[in-house]
Amino acid sequence: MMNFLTKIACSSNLFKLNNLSPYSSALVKSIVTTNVYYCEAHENQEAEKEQIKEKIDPSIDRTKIIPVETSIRYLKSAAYKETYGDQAVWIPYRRNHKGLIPPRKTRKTCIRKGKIATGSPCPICRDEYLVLHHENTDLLKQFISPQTGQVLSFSKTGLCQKKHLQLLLAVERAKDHGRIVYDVPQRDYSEYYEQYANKSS
Amino acid sequence: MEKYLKRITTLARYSTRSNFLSYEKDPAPHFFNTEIQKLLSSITTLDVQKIFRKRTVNDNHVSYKFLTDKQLEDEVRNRFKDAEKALQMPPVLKVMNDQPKTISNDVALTSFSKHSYVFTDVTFGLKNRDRSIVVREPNGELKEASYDIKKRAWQIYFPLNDRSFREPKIFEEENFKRLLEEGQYQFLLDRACLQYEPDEQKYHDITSRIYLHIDEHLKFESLRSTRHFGPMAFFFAWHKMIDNLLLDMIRNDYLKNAVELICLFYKLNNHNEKVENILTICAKSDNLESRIQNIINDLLKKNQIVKQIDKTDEELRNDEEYLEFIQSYIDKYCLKKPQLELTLNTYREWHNELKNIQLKYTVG
Repeated sequence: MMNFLTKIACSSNLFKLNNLSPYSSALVKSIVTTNVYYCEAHENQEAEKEQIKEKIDPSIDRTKIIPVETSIRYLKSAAYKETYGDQAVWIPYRRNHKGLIPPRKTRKTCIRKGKIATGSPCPICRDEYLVLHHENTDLLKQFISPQTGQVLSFSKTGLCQKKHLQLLLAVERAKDHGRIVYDVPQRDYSEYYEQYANKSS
Repeated sequence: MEKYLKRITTLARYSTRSNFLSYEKDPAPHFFNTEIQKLLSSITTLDVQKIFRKRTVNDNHVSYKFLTDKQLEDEVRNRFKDAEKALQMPPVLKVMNDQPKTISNDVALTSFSKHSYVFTDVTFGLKNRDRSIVVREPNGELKEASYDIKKRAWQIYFPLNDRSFREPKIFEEENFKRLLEEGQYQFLLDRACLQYEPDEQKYHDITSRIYLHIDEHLKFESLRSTRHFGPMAFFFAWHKMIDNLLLDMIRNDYLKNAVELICLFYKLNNHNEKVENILTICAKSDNLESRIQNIINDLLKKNQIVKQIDKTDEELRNDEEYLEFIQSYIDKYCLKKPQLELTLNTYREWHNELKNIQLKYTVG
């Protein structure tokens, strides 16, 4: 695979030398012979890079995207029960910060370039099987206040800003799709009663 | 030739956009009639526990007050008034006829712009219905805005908090079906009330579909003592399908409501039946005042521990009158005769047993 790529890279350079753009190759079916000499050292470097890429610690690796259905099953599983019990996912988490008063906002994100880039990641980032999605109502309801019906602030839950925004979006979508039921404010019809009651009387 | 005509008529029937259960005549003058309003509000019942159930509130402050006995009584009565306000029924109106008129045709403005302009009258204090909203089309025509544009303009300048500009996904087929099966009728109806005006076609489609689903699955209890029960009863009485609701009422010992529902049915369909006598009995047996007094006495700890007898003698006598009335309905107009007869007979047996128990208490 890598050999093929290096060959193409070399041939594109040749196109530049001949003042031909790579895209004009469709019109001009030129027969360009390339003598590609790539040294073994160069080839080894490519292989090393591959190996280095494979060496991410699995506990930090967040490149793999877990589907929602798996997350929904996880929330009902024994593993989840053992980890979190009956509490909400954010309750055992505690932010680490200097001094008595925590910074106003939580960190921007815990995950950078597919890896967890911080110590003490937020409650959602630390567990890759917790996926914020509008169908994953069991998870979303843990972040909605039972008294107010509003989404809890990041200062309470400890979520990073990116995940908090994803949570807000997921909750908004879930309410729009009707997956989360809430108390709808009462619509007032007094103008209709005034209009029609007068007519009938 | 006849076959051809039949085909045309069937095509005409299925070509209408509306649900097959729609209001052919204007239901508004019937709905807002004071007598029918009284019947509907009585049918809805007043379960204070359900109306004032725990809800999510933005402001969760708690206040404590010191009250005299009289003030406490006033507070309780005010709560009951609030409960009645909470049961304000969404009106049942006919589907509107949206035909915007042209005001003028200024051909000179044809090449002014590619886009149409919407002008909204934003003066404070007007009702949305009285606001003039006009559209200048690219061809120079100035006309009244169609209902879609009007609604959008209202929502831009005078927004209703939880109304959205585009169709909420909750009313799309998949989500709607799922919520119906879960039995979230009150939620769906509340959201329909917020999103649509009562004279829109979409509102009628949604509400009638919900009512039919409730009727099919006999889940009337979910809407009892909510603001939607009245319009639902009105819908069933208008379309002559009160039998399932009657079954539910008799089973749950709401005989007075059953009688009122039958009277509503007679009134809406112009059946000449003697309704005044039974309705005077219903009005007399209204026990709201005694309930309020009970609650006040409970709070003031004035209630003595009394043996709870299910029904008083007067109530039992009234029940007998109601049973007669219901029987006459079953004989004449009922569609689900065997089922209703069965439930009525089981009720009669229970009623007789109660009477015997009462006699034993009075004698002993």
